[in-house]
Amino acid sequence: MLKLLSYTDRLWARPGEDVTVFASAEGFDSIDVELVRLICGDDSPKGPGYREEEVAGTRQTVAATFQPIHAGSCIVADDAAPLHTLDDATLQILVWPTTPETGEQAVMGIWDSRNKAGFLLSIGPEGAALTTGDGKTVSRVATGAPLVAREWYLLAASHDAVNGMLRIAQHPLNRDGRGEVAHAAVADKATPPRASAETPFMVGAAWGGPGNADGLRPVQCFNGKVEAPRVLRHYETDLAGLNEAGSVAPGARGVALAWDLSRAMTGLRVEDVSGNGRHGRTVNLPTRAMTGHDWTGDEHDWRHAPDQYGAIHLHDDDIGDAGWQATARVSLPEGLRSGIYCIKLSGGGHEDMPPIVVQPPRGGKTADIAFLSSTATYQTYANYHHGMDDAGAEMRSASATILSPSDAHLFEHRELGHSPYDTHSDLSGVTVASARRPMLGYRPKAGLWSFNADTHITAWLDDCGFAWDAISDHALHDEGLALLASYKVVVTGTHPEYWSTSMWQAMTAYLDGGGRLMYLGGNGFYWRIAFHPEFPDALEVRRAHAGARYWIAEPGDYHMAFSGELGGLWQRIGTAPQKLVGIGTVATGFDSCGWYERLPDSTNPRASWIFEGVGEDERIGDFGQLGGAAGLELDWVDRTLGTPAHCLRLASSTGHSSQYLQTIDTMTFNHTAVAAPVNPAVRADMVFFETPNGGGVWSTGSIAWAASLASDGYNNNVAVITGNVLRRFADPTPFEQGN
Amino acid sequence: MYKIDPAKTELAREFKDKPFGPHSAELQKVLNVMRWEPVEGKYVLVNTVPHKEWCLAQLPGKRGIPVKLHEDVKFTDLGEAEWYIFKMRWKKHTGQDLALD
Ligand SMILES: [Fe+2]
Repeated sequence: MLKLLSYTDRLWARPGEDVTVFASAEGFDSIDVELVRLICGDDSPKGPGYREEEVAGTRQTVAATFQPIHAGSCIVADDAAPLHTLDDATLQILVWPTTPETGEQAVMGIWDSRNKAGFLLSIGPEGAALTTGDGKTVSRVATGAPLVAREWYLLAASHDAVNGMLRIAQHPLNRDGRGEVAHAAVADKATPPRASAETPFMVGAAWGGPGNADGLRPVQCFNGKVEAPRVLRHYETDLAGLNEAGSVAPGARGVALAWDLSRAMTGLRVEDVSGNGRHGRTVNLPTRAMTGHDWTGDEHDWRHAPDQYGAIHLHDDDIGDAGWQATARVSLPEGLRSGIYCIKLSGGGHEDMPPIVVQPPRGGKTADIAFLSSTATYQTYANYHHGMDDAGAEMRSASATILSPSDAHLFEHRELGHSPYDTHSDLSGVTVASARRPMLGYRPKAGLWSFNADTHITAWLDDCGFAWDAISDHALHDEGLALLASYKVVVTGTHPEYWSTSMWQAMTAYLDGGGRLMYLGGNGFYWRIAFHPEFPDALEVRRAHAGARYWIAEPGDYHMAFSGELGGLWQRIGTAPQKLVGIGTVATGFDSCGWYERLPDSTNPRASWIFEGVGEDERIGDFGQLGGAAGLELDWVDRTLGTPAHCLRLASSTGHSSQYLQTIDTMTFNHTAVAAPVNPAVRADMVFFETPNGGGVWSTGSIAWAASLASDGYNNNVAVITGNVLRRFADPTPFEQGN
Repeated sequence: MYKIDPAKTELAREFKDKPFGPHSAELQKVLNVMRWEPVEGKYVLVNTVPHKEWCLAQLPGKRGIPVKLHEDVKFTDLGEAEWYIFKMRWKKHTGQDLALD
């Protein structure tokens, strides 16, 4: 459906730096490229109007071609040559298949799928199978018994060169009376395995030739967990005797390769413990640090019991780096004003606009106000399929599901990968979001959510003449407090939901040092994420414990692989958003929006300046592009979760429809009164409090707030209040610590 | 499980007048029953002209294949699209065409 797709090598940059664009063009061969400053990305006729400005002198025309994505994760040996020359060989591995019913899936081997050459241990409708081929003929032996999904098995396969014997065995590890039995089969006069020299040794996929996934194309991808793959240098007649992976001691004689997947789990490398140095690497970012066949349930942190976390979950729709050839290099001019920019690509009547946050020069802020672009949240939302893949989505939107052309493209083109809101094809949760692939939805002219919704804030800053710098989550993660320290005030987007530890610590330190924070959104500071230590374009989310999870992490899988940290909600780590910004998630609803009414604290001299120009009985935000300023996702105060004792609750929202429900993580049990207008918890609390050293925090607690800013040419009480706070926060006069 | 009563056309009338709510408690039951349709075959709208035109479509039961577009059923108003889908689902659940005078 879409003919022009692209991604960039970075999500933020500084003037004078280059951005590399990777594009795929289908049906045309050249693309016009130019840099544009995005003023407002919302092209809805109900909105303030789409606006962009071309950056003079940045236009170029470049050649382009179609570039495919080769999705599907696997593990590949660095050097397969020594394994090619093994005459007799035995393969063994532990597997926990998730889609054994969906067709032939490669488990391990050296298998050239195009020429049907080499040897392959696979699973499929005939159970575990061993196939050998020489490019002309193929031999195969299978157990004949399909595997059961989500149960551990030892698979073993053996080949004898002299007599052409093939053996295969599948051995269930759960012998708990459910009737699963071991199966084995044998064949003779088999075709000798003869793969071309370039065919790699792979676990979880067969070789489809050269490709874009780290140089190769994974095919016949396996869905499920794999553990302890090993290659032995001899023909084994008693495969049942291999009945536990541990029965072959690493380093033992006769072991050609033994990957211990519980080592170096944060990274891309896979270590061979056979002593032969036959290490490997993961391709397309499978999920590591998953519970293995011997997880006892006593330990939930893989760092404390790595040997029980020796499994990697492979998915046929994992995608790490799309691996495209560079299409264009865009140089950001020196002196380019900081802001939200896009690289506008057009060709063949199609357009794509990957965004770039242009930060000020390093160490040289150009304004007192910083807008923190929620790039981590945008990345997490990219390639979102939930509305299309989950039967409950229409209940959530309270209207028919509307697909943009991008959504329809995503439905069809699963090789673009999914978002952590989605499940994989095997219905396991998506934990990884890579930025090295086209990120549909993370674009202007998309739905009013996340990236695009945040341009209402930056348009307001521009239109009201505020001088501001743009900074990004990714830079905040990398540079920490230094990025924030010199700003008088930091303004968030509408939905700053995903925070790494480094980002969180930087924001806390900034506030402790007298910084000021305007939280202009809802459901912020909610999930903890980690960035990959070796491939920082990928981030990880584990939907642990509680929250609006969309999928539920398996027992034992709550700690992130990228960092080892406990994943899930920040609240579950003892630092709820209430501690940082006074409020945290309490309710959601997506059909309509409400408004705010002032509370007695709003006349407290500590905060009354916020409402200058607004009447005491005025409804705040009973207007706007979404019908009201209080809506979508709402946050409230909760002293028990850390709302500062001196926090002023200035206003609270009302007017919410019965589609607004209290969130799961804030309830201890369910009942029929969890919805508005009969649940007092369904509300956004607007709060203000002072922080040490003269700083302060002001929070709106509503994703919809910014969509009311532009009403009546910015002449409205939402814009007045936001402007009052911004001007005061940009004023260096310290706030006195409240009581 | 709540069953949609084909005689209660006043609920259909209410939806037609106000497709985006708020709805009466009984109409909300009707809508929730309709919206529990499985993903396979579920009616959705594909935005064919930004903010201006929506095409009726159905989700296939399988990932990785195109969404099925009904090119001959297009709307320029989302309320009308909602009403069209409502009528199709009414027929599916009650076995009767929804005829409002
Ligand atoms: Fe969210």
